[in-house]
Amino acid sequence: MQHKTIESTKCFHCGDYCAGEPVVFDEKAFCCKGCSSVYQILNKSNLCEYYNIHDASGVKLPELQDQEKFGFLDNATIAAAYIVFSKPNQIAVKFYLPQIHCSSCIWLLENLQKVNEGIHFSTVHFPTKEVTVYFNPDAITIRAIAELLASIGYEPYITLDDGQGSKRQEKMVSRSAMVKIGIAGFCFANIMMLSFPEYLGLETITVDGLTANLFRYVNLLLALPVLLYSGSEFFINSWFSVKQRRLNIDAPIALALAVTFSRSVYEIISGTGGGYLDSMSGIIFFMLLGRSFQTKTFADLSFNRDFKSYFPVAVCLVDKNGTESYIPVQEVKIDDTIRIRSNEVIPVDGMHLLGKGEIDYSFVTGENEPTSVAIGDLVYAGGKQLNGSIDLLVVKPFSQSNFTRLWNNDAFKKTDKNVYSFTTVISNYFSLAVLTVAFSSFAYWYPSNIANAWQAMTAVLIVACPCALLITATFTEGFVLNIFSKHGLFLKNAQVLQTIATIDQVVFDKTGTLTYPHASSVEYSGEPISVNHLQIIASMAGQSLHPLSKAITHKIKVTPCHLEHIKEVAGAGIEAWENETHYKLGSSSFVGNESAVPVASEVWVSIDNKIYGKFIIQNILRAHVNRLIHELPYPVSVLSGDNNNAEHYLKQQLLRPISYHFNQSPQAKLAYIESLQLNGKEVMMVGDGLNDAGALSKSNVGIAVVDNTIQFSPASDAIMLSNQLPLLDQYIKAAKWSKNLIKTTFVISTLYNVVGLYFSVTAQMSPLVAAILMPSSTFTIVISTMLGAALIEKFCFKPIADLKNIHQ
Amino acid sequence: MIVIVFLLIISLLVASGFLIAFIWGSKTGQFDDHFTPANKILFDQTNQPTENK
Repeated sequence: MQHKTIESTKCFHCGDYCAGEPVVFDEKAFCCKGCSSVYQILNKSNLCEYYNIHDASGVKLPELQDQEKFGFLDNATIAAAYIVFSKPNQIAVKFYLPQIHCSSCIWLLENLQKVNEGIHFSTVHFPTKEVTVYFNPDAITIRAIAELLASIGYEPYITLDDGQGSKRQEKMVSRSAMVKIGIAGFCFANIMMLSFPEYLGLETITVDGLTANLFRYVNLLLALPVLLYSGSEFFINSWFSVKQRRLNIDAPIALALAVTFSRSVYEIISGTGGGYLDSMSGIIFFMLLGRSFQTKTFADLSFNRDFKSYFPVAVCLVDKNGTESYIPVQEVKIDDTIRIRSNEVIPVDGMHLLGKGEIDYSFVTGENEPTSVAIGDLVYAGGKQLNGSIDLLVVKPFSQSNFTRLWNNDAFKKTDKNVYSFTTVISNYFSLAVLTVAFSSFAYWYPSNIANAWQAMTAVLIVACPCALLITATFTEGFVLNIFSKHGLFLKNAQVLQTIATIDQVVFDKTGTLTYPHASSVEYSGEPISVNHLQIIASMAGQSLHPLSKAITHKIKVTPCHLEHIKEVAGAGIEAWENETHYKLGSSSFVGNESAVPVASEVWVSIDNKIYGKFIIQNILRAHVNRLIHELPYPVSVLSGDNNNAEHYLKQQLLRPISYHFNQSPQAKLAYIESLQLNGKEVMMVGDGLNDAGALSKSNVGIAVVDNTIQFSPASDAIMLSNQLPLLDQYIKAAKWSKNLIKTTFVISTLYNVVGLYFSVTAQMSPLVAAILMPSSTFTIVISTMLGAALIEKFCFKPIADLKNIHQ
Repeated sequence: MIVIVFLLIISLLVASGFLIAFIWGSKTGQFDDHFTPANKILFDQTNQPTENK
């Protein structure tokens, strides 16, 4: 191996720019050891084709890899959850690999048998990012497969709340929806074809004793599966809505379908006409098409992740002899000793027995600074161990830990947001109007012509069914959802779109949402430090995993040197003795500055007991966020779990009076949202972490901000890519316009209805008129929503580059 | 005229053949993943195992 200094070289494996000196192997530059080790594995197995499909397609390895991380897969009961198929010499195991992103990934993951001979073959399912590995259980274990995947950058994501079952169920649902549409489309087209004699007025012609009546009966036969199978959801939904005494749009549709079908059956059997089976199946076909278009699912995103997905599946149990074994987290008992590895979330409350406890409680408190715990201290579930492994004595089982109890609290449970969708409201008025027209036309004709009375009434119900409204809403929302996801905002469902249009208050989380989660600005204030001293201070900071130390190392760009005598005092700081000099780096009290007010984001420096100065570490705002806050036409609040250090900086940057709330626990955030709602506000909450989860689910619209779609987000109504956050105002504007678009297209479809009603009320409704009106109104609606959505995209969305920065 | 009836039956039979193929395809998940199979065909295969499940 040789080292070369190449300025800002791209990593051959992952394509990132190498910070500092690249690692060179095989004359190729890598940004880190992890990337070069993946290359070495692939190179050895002749899999370098991987890099030819896509340049630099590799996935970066995480900094810290724990050898024992997948140890729990040795436990047969835990591993059984991942086995999808098993026979004596072949087992198939399925893992979720969120890193899958391109065709190179597929190629590599389907060539795993070249890396290890125990693997027979493997298949990738791209939309759900799952890989199924078929292997010989005598040659390789499940754990070894998981470790192999992790070593080439595809670490299986395994949590308690894996949702594997629910995912599969979702898939089954979408498959049956597809079959329903297929059957409806098939029958619709055939019925249309067989109705041609009807349209051309040939139905009375008899040739060789055969009449068009035969065609009518075939139509009836074809219409049965459409009504009973494809259209069944309208009847089921309306039955539920009647039971809950909340009329939804499906109820009037089901009524219209039932009336259309009964009248068609009557006409065919009595030989008086051909019925309206073509219109009926066409409407069902288009409504199902609209619904499936609107319920576009993002198979790789999860909107319902609760706190359990942050916990490990299994815990490492240590017995008296010090041997480790793994058990499912629910089976942990009081007085067990468990071992928590670094970066694992602590699943149960326990007493700290062994190791250096440095725990990040940001899930629980929102506070970003880690807490150090001494031996004998209580450690609470929900904290994340940062530095090496620790042993805990369990004091409360999983289900009773404070953390689990907190999240099981009703307030945190996702309640069905009680919003009357605006289409439902319109459809209720609409149905009322239709029923009135139907009954008055019946009353008008009844004295003179009973046959006409029935005909008029049923024709009104058939023609003016709110199907057009449903088609309008579903297609518009479908188009707008597509536009949104193209621009990096993924909505859970179409209902969210309608809710966004009504909000009048926006609440932001600070850390990780308004500010970058990791990048922080480090400023030094005090006496200047010489280069030699600075090198040692940077090296000291480099030894610690504390986020503040990391920020300082990142700021002072000097080559670290080796330190002989270094000591980290948990919760206070680091000290080192080098060249007969005593260096101290840490809190104000640690360096002996008693006069200073202890502030968490300040790191003081002292050399030979002389206080030099302090590093002030501050998170920095995401680019263009100040413009967003300035442009939002609603009251804005900022909530933060951190202390109020950043208040001054935020006030300086965000040029508008907004309300700030610091030191907010997850419950306090939730309570704040609740208090706004009690004042009649429709609140949008934008947050990123588990500590915002309560507020996100309480708010009318909760948006989780993620840096990439691989990242895990708390339960929310929408997931937004963080680089799109500055465009939030545009999304809200687009949501409002899409509501207007639905209204406009609805007016168009009402015009068609009025024409249809004229024919119905005057009892002149012929199958031909119905057959022309129905498709033409549907096509007009679909085309106008499509054009409208394109206009919305054109006028509401401006790329970030075109935004004027309103800095000062 | 009887030929029309004959044609009608034939056309419905042929069309239902396609419908059944579609139902079978979607029930067995052949439309679930549009990305992987489409890309797989483009990869140069060297020594692919002959094994199957």
